[in-house]
Amino acid sequence: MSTAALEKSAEKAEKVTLSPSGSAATATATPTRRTDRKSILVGFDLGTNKSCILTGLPGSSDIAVSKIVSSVVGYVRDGIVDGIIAGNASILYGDDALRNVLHVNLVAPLDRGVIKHRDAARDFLQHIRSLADPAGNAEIRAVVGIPANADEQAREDIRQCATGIFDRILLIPEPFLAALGYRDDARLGQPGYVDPVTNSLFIDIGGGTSDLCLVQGYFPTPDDQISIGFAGDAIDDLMRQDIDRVYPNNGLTHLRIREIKENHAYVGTIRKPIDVKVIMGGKAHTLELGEVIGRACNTLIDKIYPALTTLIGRASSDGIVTLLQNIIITGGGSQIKGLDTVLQKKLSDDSYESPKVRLAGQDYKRYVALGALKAARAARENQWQYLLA
Amino acid sequence: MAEASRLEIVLRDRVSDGFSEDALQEIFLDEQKRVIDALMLAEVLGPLLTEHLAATTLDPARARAPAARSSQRPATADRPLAIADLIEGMLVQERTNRGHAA
Repeated sequence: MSTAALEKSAEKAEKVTLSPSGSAATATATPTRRTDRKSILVGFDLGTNKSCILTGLPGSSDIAVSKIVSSVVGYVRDGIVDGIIAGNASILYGDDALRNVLHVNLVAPLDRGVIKHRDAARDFLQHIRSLADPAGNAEIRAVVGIPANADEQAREDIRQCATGIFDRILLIPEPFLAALGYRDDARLGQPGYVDPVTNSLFIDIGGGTSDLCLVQGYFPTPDDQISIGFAGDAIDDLMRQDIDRVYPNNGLTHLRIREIKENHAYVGTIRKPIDVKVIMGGKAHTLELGEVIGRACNTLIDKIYPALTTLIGRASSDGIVTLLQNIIITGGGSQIKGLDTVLQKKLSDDSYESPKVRLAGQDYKRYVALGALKAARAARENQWQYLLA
Repeated sequence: MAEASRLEIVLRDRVSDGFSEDALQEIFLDEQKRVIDALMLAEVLGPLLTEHLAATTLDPARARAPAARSSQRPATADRPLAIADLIEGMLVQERTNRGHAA
């Protein structure tokens, strides 16, 4: 038992139960309220490429902070002349780090949805905390989105990295949070409004993973969720391989390839031409990338569709017709042109009953964090996990 | 855990000056009374619990439902499930999974 846990158990009003061995940093507790610190609730979508943070105060429905941050940490290289980096900072975060790519060593804390570089992850979380609480003295209660079916090690890595940065934490699968975020609370109970939490299937396509989740009015079981390690980054990799094959020594960076994908991604029949202007060796060139982009993006369909039909097969037969009309795509992958229509057509061609696949819409980057903030506001005191340093 | 904590408090309060025969006897009698109370409570609750379990077993839909799902009532169009109940369902699942892993 950690020192902090012992101290807490000595407080007679508190009942502290340690988590299983190997996770001594956490404890669920029925706490006494600390009146000397303000609490800030955080809904946090910790994404492989982009993270989103929303904050609010307990008892309020207002959103105090709403930010999307590139999930990257830049460590300023040795020997950089004073004044090159604003404030002579030694670490930059997000877009600041990307803008100073020449002067920093970029580290992405996550890979395929899980923490890969712990130190960078801690630095990144510290930055997130500073966004939520610039003064640095509030109690931070964060609901953090995790990939569907994230294993215990992935969860424990997040807890350990967040220890000493957040005070209390709840880890909840991202597609379920997306459903909560997508839910229009003002319309609940209105005729004709189908609550996505009651009966829907969410497809959350991020940078590292594509997560599919049945949401049918109870918390999804492991059987209701499928996580695939093929998403935006894997599409980038396929594009790079193809571009390198057709245009050797092109010098395109990973970030530039991602940018090309974000501007032109599509699925379905190959579209030509898609001419993209790039600078190679200091000279402007126009590359025709219609086939490269289409082939890479269509691979996503090949990966997602079997998972989609598997989950439909596992759904309760009682509400299957309604479910088929509530298939919702969110995450960055929802911006791939034609994704909804191609998936819907495949389902129709396979004789599924009147399927309807929709895109979550323009707030796709925020639904997970919004769901996380809703969960943070609704969580009972005894549902939070303490992070004990 | 709760029992151990309670006993720790009892011991701290009562035997700070060392163990004496009287102190031990007093603790023993208190514990004996608690056990008797618990047995009496079990006698009262036992038949009620049996009745409740019988009713549950007779309902095939509930009997087939996985444990994690049956721990919470599903939402319906006219009765949205509270988010805290959904979180509770998640925590129940996590505890169950840890139990199986252990």
